[in-house]
Amino acid sequence: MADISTNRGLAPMKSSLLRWLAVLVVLALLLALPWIAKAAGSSATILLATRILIFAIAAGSLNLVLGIGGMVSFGHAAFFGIGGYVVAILGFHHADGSLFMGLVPGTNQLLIALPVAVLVTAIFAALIGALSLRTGGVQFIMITLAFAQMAFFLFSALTTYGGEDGLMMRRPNEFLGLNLRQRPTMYFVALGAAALCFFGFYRFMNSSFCTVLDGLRQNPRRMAAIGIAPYRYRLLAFVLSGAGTGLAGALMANVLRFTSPDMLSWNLSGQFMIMVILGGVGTLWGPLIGAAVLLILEDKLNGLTEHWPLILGLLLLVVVLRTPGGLMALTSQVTGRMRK
Amino acid sequence: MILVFEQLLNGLQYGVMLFLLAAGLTLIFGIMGIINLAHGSLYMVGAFAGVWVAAQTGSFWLGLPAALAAAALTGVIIEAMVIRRLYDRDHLEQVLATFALILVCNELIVIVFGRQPRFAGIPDSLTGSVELLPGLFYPLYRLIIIAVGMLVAGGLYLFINRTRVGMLIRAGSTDREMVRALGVDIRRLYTAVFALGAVMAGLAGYLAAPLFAVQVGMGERILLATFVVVVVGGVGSIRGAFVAGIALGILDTAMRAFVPGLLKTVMNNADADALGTGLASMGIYLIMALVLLVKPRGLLPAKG
Amino acid sequence: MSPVLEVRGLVKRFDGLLATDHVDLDLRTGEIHALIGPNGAGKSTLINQICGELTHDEGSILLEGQPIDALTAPQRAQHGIGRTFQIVQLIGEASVLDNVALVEQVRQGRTWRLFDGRKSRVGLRDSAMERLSTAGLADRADTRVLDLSHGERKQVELVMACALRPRLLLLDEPMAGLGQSESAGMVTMLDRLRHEVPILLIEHDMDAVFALADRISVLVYGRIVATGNADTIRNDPEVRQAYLGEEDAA
Repeated sequence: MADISTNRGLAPMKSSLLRWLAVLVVLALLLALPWIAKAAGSSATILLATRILIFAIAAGSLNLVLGIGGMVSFGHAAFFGIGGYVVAILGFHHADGSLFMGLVPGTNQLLIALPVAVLVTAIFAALIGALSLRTGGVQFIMITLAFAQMAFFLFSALTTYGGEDGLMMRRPNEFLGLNLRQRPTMYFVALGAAALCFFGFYRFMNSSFCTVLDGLRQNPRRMAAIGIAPYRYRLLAFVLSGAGTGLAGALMANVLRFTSPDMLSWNLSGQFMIMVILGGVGTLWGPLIGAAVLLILEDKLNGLTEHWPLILGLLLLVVVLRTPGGLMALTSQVTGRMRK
Repeated sequence: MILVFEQLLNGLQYGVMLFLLAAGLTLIFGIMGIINLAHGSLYMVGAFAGVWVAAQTGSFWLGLPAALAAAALTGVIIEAMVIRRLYDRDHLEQVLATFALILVCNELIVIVFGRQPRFAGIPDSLTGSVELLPGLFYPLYRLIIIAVGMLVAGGLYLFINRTRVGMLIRAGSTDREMVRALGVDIRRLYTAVFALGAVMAGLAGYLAAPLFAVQVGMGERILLATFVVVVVGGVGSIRGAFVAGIALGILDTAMRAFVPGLLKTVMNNADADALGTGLASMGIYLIMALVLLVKPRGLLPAKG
Repeated sequence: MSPVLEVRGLVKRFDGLLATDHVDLDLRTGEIHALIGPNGAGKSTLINQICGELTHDEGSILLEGQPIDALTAPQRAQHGIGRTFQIVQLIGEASVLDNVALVEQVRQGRTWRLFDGRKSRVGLRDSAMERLSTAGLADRADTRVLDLSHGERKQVELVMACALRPRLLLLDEPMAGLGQSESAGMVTMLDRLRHEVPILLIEHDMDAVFALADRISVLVYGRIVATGNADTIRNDPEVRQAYLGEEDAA
């Protein structure tokens, strides 16, 4: 739920101090990571960490609708992919000097491309959300999936932008004279974006808006009886969530210097959901933990056996069937800070 | 004209396949309230098991019962080990757990059968074509799929409407509490429904084997289309699944067949092919979105 | 003086069945008007139409003389129709205090602030706390609603409905499932409330109804068969036959 600062075991002051201390320690570690990785001689770690941070932004954004709003969107990969394609398409037009739809010039400036990506995904999220939120339950799941599939096939069909093969970017965006091709640099950009986003999530989860959104998830009937009509609240949450996911996609396009319809596949939508569930639905740090656990597992298991999806699937089953609340709940159980 | 007829029949054949899958899925949702993403896995298991037995024995006909049995067995195991724990969970957890089942099933199939696609032959007795209209030759095997699908639909109709179990299923899909209140052993009913759905999925998988490559991931490809059918038809409604299955099967096939051609009249060939394929693939999803916006509960919702 | 709430010729059909059969009903300032009737008479159906959860097929509902037929349930709540439910509806995972504070927050229209902190809602929590103290629930303020007893939840729901500062209250069986002392507490609470806000009360507990109600209307098969004070109702032959007689038999 929205109230993330409920701790009964410890005095509130002390526990919140501890928590901020923990956040600072983790942040310091993340800041030092490139040097740690260099010392350990594994540059792949940096790439993995970058991907984790970016996926955490996407999962955290999904968490806003999934965890807090209770809207099971099975189509968030669409926003991820659209965000990525905005960057790639702007880069494409910049490279060959042409105009998008004969109107809009391209750009290779990160500070332009990212906001445009966020804006465009927000618009798409507003359209998709406005229509999808007229349904509910299983129909909502399926209609969000349907819109994502439409986007998937649309991008597959755009031969100008690579069609099914995807669109390569010759070079990443330019940002304050930095070279984003260098992994540590890109990592810091992702870290900065993730830090901003999670600060935003934190503020959001403690906001007045969020108490309403959370109430709507738990009991829409009660909310109606005190004068709240759900539609506009859910729609705004959906738009914010879509925009955040779009930002993640735009960053990912810079990391990979490549976008393809795979970025919009329903499999990826499922993976975002897994991250949220794995870490802990509706919690602040759950999506980050979920993204980290999932991607690290994938990385490690992939090295061990080609059959890693089997292990992943079984693990996921155990988490869903046995540990409601995900890893966040598990850790708080272990540390004896479970709220019940 | 011949071409249109042929595509119509292709669409009908695809439609009955969709129905075979959607009937089980819609029952499982209607009665148990479960969103089962792993339904496509049962289709895949049926195809693999059937084709393997057929290859070992050299008999297409021995493959059939093997496919049905394997799908049913998998279905019962899945129901007992996973689905049963999901009855009172919310949609999100159901989606995740059955998504995990897809991963597990796919990987188990890879371990047992490998990644290579398999191809199944049509038995000699079913090869060849039938001249339906002057000049319209249509493959016998596809006609048989249509016939089998229609037979199953008819049988299912009789089963649901004329038998005691069918009565319970009907009651269960509109009012779960009522069936519980009747003192029926709800667990056995659930298992039976799940097995029934699995058998139909396995049947569809085995019938489809000679037409498509049998490979890992085949389940997901048809799963999404099946979900579209279920939702468009009205969740829990077998009649809806039948109507929507046939209609969407025909529409999807027709769009794939004709949209690229239509586009070629206004743009160059290569672009028209890509765009046409894309638009045709979007078609059923677009239809679903439109249907849901006009009738949020689908075309023929189960009553209640 | 015109009534706070007026229901005129209200009709609701389900599959051709008349669930609400040309109901006329009014609620005046300062009164508790009880709505009684056997199970299945359509009491909740009627209340749900007044709140806007269900739409009626014919007739009209007026709030302080203004028709509210076209308004949705949330809009009617904003116009001052407060309610409780037969089955308690609360924000289960939140604390009692947060539930009541949420109503204060919504009433003040502070629902669109996206990034304000918890500190900005301290004032809301203070006034919520006051309400809880008045209701004798102060010591339960930090308890999660899910951990409350049934009776406490009923009380919290009533406090929430009042926090909306409604022009009238629709209470759907506030005593249902309460123990004897809890019921008595609820009667005291409602008795105090009548001076603040008129109440339309659905209730099966006849002792409570006769103790509280200024007027009683009897609903049978969707139709109002009698309206009057306690004595009139006790002695109404149609009521005795249709309703109290059934009670005796039961």
